[in-house]
This record gives sequence, structure tokens and C-alpha cells, in this order.
Amino acid sequence: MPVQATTKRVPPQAFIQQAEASIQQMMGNVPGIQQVILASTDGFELCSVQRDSGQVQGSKLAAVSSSILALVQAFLGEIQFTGCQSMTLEAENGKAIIAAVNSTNHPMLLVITTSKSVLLGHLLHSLKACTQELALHDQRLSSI
Amino acid sequence: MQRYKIVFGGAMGAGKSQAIASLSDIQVLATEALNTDEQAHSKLLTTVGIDYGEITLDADTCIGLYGTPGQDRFSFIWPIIGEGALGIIILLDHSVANPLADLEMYLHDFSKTSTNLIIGITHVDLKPERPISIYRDWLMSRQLLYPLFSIDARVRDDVLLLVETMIAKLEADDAH
Repeated sequence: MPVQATTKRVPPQAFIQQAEASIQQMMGNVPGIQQVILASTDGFELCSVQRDSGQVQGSKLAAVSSSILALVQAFLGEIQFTGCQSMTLEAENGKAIIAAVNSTNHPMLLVITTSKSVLLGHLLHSLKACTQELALHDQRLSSI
Repeated sequence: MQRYKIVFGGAMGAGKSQAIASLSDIQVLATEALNTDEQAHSKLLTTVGIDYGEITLDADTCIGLYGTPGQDRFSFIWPIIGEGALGIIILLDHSVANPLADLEMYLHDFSKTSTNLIIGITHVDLKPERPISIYRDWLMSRQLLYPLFSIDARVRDDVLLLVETMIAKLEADDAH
């Protein structure tokens, strides 16, 4: 997605605050979410919300997730699929989702870790709403 | 046909993606994202996954060219990409504030993955007052012996020199 040349590359603090509120709301709606990290597509943690202490270090997860998303997007390009939205990883003791936040001004990604028992359909529905809300926040705040 | 793998490592902005693009016979697969760390480098895009290109040296030999993200926060991916490589080409930007610190860091990390290392110094024209000899002096002071070249990553023959040197070095090592 092309980035506006005149926009500052890092989203403003006001956006981060609104993003945290949106993420908190999603976590409140979906039981089973353990941690949500919002990151820039070049691997920097922008904010992190976790249900309990002792979750994975956000900065490392942000970097790893950005690599994974970029690799998957490249793979999808090779098979001529467009617009990578999310990917779901399932492990024995939980699930992880990496989702693109398709904001023109500040491309970002969300990383969500959950318990194994999370209802995936409910999560994906809430996640879609959250990413759309984040994109709208970013668009609105970047135009101020 | 025999297939090999060569990895390009080194500092952000040193020219890894460019070097692969200059050399590759195919369209390069790139994994770039918007660079939000303008303090580290002003460029708009930065590699966050891998770059992939290919060069066919002759009818029997094809080499996969793998580029790595240069920033330290992506260091987890370096040994993964380096696995099974013929060797690693480390590119360093001569014009940055402390290129020797970069040399030390990337040698330290990539030498854990491979002993077949070639060093390419880029952007020499942007800092002509700094002598190229600083790299050789640094290596010799630590009794390290690696092939070292001043190159322009935009010039195919310059990058090809690094690849051919790596292959020649391997053949020489095998002969012994």
C-alpha cells in the first residue's frame, strides 16, 4: 500500500492512545486473548496490552512478526493473491494471529496470542472490526 | 544443475538489496516495509524478511542470493537464513559514523554461522577522506584474514567479484 510522502513515519501519540483503547475493547469482548501487540511493519512495538504479566517480550515479538508478515505477503504475491489480511498459527497450547492494519499513512500489524480454547470465529470477527477501527483512527489523526 | 546459496548480511543501508538486484538474473523477491527509524537511516523502505534472487553462473551452477535485514532487532533471522549457505557476504557502508563498529558486530554474529566470509565496502565515494585501509588494519590487528573489496552495489561486475571470490576461496580451501 503506498505511503503518503508528506506523513511522518511514526504514528502520533494520540493514535497510540486510541489504539490501546480499541485493543482493550477487543480483549474485553473476546475471552481467551492473552496479549495484543501493535507494531509498525518494520518491526517496532507501538503498544502492547496483556491480560496477565509474564507474557512474551513485545519488542522481540514485533520484529519477528513483521518478518513473518512480510514473508507471507511476498509468498502471496508469488501465487498472485492480493491483500494479505491475517494468518492464524495453531500450536498445542495456544493460538497466534498476525493481522495487517491496512492504514495508508502508517502501515502496521497486530499480533494476538490466545489460549487454545478461544473461539476463532468470534476472535476473527472482533479482530477485523479492531483493525478497521485502527485504520480509521490513523487516517483521522494523520489528517489533523 | 547444482544449486547453492549465498547470503548477504551487513548494515542497514549498506546495499544488500541493491547488490542482489544488480546481480540477479530473475526479478528479486523482496520483503520491504516502511522504515520508521529515520535516525538509523533516512531511506524510505527497509528489508524486514529476506530478499531472494538467483544467478546462473554456467549450465551446471545456479546460486540463490539471500538478503537479510540489517538491523539488530532482526538478528534472530540471520542464522536461520545462513543455514546451509556456501558463505556470507558482509556489506558495510563506508560513509557511516563508525563503520568499524559495524564490521565488528557483523563479523561476530555471522562468523557463528559460516567461516566463509567476504567483506564488501560500499559508499566509498561518500567519505573519500576516510582511508579504506582502516578495515584491513582492523582485521590484521585481530589476526583475521578475510577477502575485502571496495565495491559499488549498483554495479553488477563489482558484486559478481564478491561471489566469484567466495567460490574461488572455497575451491582453494577444498584443494588443501
